[in-house]
Parts: sequence; structure tokens; C-alpha cells
Amino acid sequence: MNDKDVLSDKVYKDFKSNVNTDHVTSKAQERHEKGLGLDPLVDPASNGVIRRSLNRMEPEGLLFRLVMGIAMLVEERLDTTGSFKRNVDIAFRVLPRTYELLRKVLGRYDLQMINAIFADALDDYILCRSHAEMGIKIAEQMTLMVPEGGGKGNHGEDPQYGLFGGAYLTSADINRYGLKSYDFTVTDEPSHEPVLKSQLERVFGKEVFDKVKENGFEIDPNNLPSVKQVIDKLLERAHAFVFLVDMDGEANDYWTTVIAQNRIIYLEDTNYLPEVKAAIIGLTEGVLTLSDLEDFLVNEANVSKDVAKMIKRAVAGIPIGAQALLENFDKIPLKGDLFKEKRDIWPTDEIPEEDGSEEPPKTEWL
Amino acid sequence: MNIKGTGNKIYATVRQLASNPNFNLYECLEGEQTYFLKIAKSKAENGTLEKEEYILKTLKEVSDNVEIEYAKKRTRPDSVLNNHFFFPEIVDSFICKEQQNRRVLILGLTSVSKQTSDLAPISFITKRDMVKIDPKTSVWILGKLLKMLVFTHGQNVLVRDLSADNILVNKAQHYVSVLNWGDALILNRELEQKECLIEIVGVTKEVVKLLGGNPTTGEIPEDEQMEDSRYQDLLKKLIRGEYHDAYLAHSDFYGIVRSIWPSKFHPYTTK
Repeated sequence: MNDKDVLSDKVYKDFKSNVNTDHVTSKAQERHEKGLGLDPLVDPASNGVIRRSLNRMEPEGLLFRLVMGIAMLVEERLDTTGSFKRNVDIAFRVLPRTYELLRKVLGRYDLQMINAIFADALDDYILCRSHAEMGIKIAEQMTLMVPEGGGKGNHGEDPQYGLFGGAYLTSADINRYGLKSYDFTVTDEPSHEPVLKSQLERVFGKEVFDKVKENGFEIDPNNLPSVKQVIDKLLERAHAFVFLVDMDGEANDYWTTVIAQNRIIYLEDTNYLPEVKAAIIGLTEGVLTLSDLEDFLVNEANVSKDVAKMIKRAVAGIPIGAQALLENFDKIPLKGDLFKEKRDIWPTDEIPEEDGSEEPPKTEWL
Repeated sequence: MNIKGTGNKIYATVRQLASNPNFNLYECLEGEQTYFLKIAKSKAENGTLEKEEYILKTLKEVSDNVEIEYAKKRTRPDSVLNNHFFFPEIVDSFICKEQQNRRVLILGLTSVSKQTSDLAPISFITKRDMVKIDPKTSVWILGKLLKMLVFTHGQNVLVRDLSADNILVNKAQHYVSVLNWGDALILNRELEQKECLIEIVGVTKEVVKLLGGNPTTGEIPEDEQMEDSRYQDLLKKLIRGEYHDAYLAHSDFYGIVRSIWPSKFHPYTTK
């Protein structure tokens, strides 16, 4: 493992020094203006379509060692329409803080992140979606996104294709243990309905339904799920939340019909997204309780007491301890565990000794 | 059963009072004082009790602050708001190792009753005692429920469980409290009118049932206490959802009620 496996301050600063921090996506926008389209690293249709979050193993003798704990995926999809156009810049700026705080509440896992942005179907790109990455690649892929900032003023945006990707086109090792990953959608608008076949093919490519099938799901292209059904499916594999930022009544009216009220988080702005996400994950994992949340936020996230109180109130209604209730929560493999095969999910109990450490076979003279 | 709380306090359960999918509720004794002991049904429900603790502590903090502010402005020196009467106080909260690491809340309603046995859910009135209350008795029950909603809605809190099993009354002292706040929602946004309306309609329906009336229409039986249809009309208006603001509902309610019946203590009366 090298420096790039963990997003350290040094690696981030080195990378940031080569980026226009006022508009981190400026190079990607230039590429778009030249008609080159999305970079394959953030094009949802590229690189096999299915986004995979895999346990990282390194060979050790005849076995494989789990490098960083099992892979825990955190996906975030940001609305970048209208006043949210700068969301990628903000997310890039707070990335080290996000990463550090999430590592604090997900200490036993290998944190992997997918960043996505969504727009309106009338924009050039409805969705940009990175790969599940760790370390500096998270930052690199953020700069490849193309936030158009349009929205088209048509009462709603199109996050449903990103949600569809989260539900049907994601393969996360954490789910193989019966645990769930985390999924956050940040918006201030309702989602358009329905989920359209033509748009799915536009976003994920013509083979989208084959990919859905390859990932273990059966979907009839002529009878596609509603947004609520997509979210219900997503909830089977992820603790999903919708952040409504400075929203109006219309957005709230819509989202409360497609996801439970206790999974909607109301925020005034996006400044404290890292802290809110860490609070939600910490409470869901059972690493934090409501009683110690304020202290955590003040001491570990360096926010003021008033902000800590505000965040606590915002997240108080979520299903606290939901991850900790799942089977295998206390049994998952940890960093350093050894496995017979690279894709095994449980460590081996029989650890053979390495070549060279064994006694040489005795020669039997006849 | 003895349960060890914080600071080596011992809570001795006296009897089981209620149960739901999330918790079991007992009456318990600590020294001479009776409390409610709520224990999560399983470790899985600890989070629900944790949220309830947070909501109750928040309401208490706000209630105390509001009382201080009110004291500065009141015209009558003995006038108090007593919003804390509407919900239990958190006496203790802990994880009980001897009970499979389930969370326990010790809840006190000592402001509204010295003994927990002085309190009864209003569902007992119609279901167990098989009686109905008279209109004047309904006034203080509904009036206090509306006052509670003024307070909770003002804090962007939805009680949600406003069923007759969850509304307790101290019949002698005319106190009303809601016991279970595990289903409540505390929001960091303003409540929508329809959310407030549902709770205003909800409490009115429960009181109409106590009067032996029709909770769908608000129609209540004739009674000699009612000289005209003003009270009846008010209940119908509340049930039709014409109020989506608890403050307006509460002030209109007392405006009309006081024009019918002078403000005077009326003993709890059933028929």
C-alpha cells in the first residue's frame, strides 16, 4: 500500500496545488466545450457501468491479507443545478475534512467513496459518477465532473438516474456481509418522475439492462420502477438519506412521498455536510450516541457548540443503530485478517505455514 | 425486579403498565417515589429511546427558558405557563447490562401527580370504565391538549402518537400529559400546515370520543350543559380541519368556551 491509498493532507495539498481551486472542474469543462464529452472516469456509462467497491487484499505467502478492513462504500450525489452550481467546488474544498471525519466513525473499515453530481434531463449530462475510490483518486475524479448549473427551471431535477445507479448498478462488498453502505443525495428540488428507458440508456449506455442483470437484478425495460421503488431497492443495500437544503414546501412534499421522513435531513446550507454525514454514520454504526454526539462534533470536528446542537437536532430522528442491528455486524473481518482466496469474504481458520518455514521433507532411504 | 440505574439507584418494578413493539412500560419505585420505567424491547430499540430522551430533554430546556421569559412579562405574578406538565421528565437514562444491554428510561410526571397511579390514559374512560365525560370536563382536556400543541408545534415537534392510550389525565387536578414520545419527530424546519392540522384534528377526535360523539363528524350527544350549538359547532370546525395553527385553535377555543361557560373549576364528571 502506498500514499495514494489514504487521503493524507500532504497528498491532497500536492494535488490541490495543480488545480484551479475557484473552479476545480474548469479543465473538465474545457474538455466538454471541445466536444470530447465526459472523462471516462466519471462517465456512468464507462468502465463496465457497474461501480464496484471491493475489499483490498495483498498476497502474503499462500494467503491474502486484508489491507484496511472490509470496504465500506459511501456514495454522495450532489445537485449542481441553479444555486448549487458551486457544490463541486465546495465538496472539493471540504474533502479532507469529510474524509478525516468519516474515517473517525468508520475506523474499522476501508473507506471508499463515490462522488456523483446530477442535473436536469435537459442538460448535457444528467449524471456524472465516479468510481468507488480511496485516497487522492477521490479528489482527482471530482475535478473531472461537469456541473452545468442549468436546471432549466422546470420544477424539479433528475436525481433518479443517480439513485438508479446506486440501487441497481453498484456492487459493494459490504453487502456480502449483510451490512449496508451509505448513500446521500443532496438537493433542494423534487425529482422528476418517471424513470425513463431512453434516459437510462443515455446515462448508462445501451447495455444498461444487461448490466443490471449482470449485477443480479431483473428489470423489465418496459415496466421501469418509479422513483419510490428505486429508493426502496436502494434501501435494501444502503442506509440512504436525502438532504434537503434550504428547500421549499414543494421539495418536502415530494420527497416525503418517496422516502421515510426519518431519512430526510433538513439543512440551511451545505457548509456542514461533512459533519452531518459523520454524525449520521456514527449514529447508524453505533459508534456515537445522541448523548455524546455534541462532544464529538465539538472536539473532533472543531465546530462550535451551537453548530453541534444544530447538527444534533437535524439528525436526531434517523434510525439510530441501524447498522449495528444487522447480522454479522460484530463478526466482520478486520485489517490484517488472512484469507485463502482473494475474493473470499471470511478469513481462513487454517493458516498454512509458508514455503521455507516448513521442515524439509525427510528422505526415506530404502 | 430490581434495576440498577446511574449512581447505584435501584428502581424496583411494581407492575407492568403497557407494552408496544418498541418498549415495555412499568410502574417502579425509587425510595418512596413512583416513576415510569420504560425499557427497550430489544437492543434494537435502544435508538428509539435515545431519541425520545433527546426530545424530552430539549422540550424541558425550552420550557424552562420560555417560563423565564414569560416571568419577565407576565401581568399577574402567580401566572405560569407550565408547559413541562405536558411531557415526562427524564429522571434517569442508562443501558442495563443485566437486561441484555437494553436502554432504560426512568420517566417522571411528578409535576402533575405525586403517584403514577393518579394518572390514567383517557382510553380507560370509554373502554374500561365504559362512561362518557360531560362537555365541561371535555373543555379542560381539549383545551390543555391544544395548549400542548401550541408549545410543541412552536418547537417544530410533532407528537404523532396522540391516541387515547397515550394521553394521560389527572382527573382530580385537571392535568393532561402525553406519556410516549418515542414516535415524536423533532425537526429543524418549520412544520407544514397540514402536519399541524393532523394533530389538532387528532386530539379533537379523541375528546369527541370521550363525549360519546362521532369522531368523523364531531357530532356529540345533546347535553343540558349546552344551551346552544356553539360548543358543538366549535368541535365540528376543529374536526373539519379548519385550524392548521394550534395557537389560533387554542385562542378561538377558549374565546368561545369562555363565552359559554364562565371560568370556574368543574370537577371531573362522567355520565
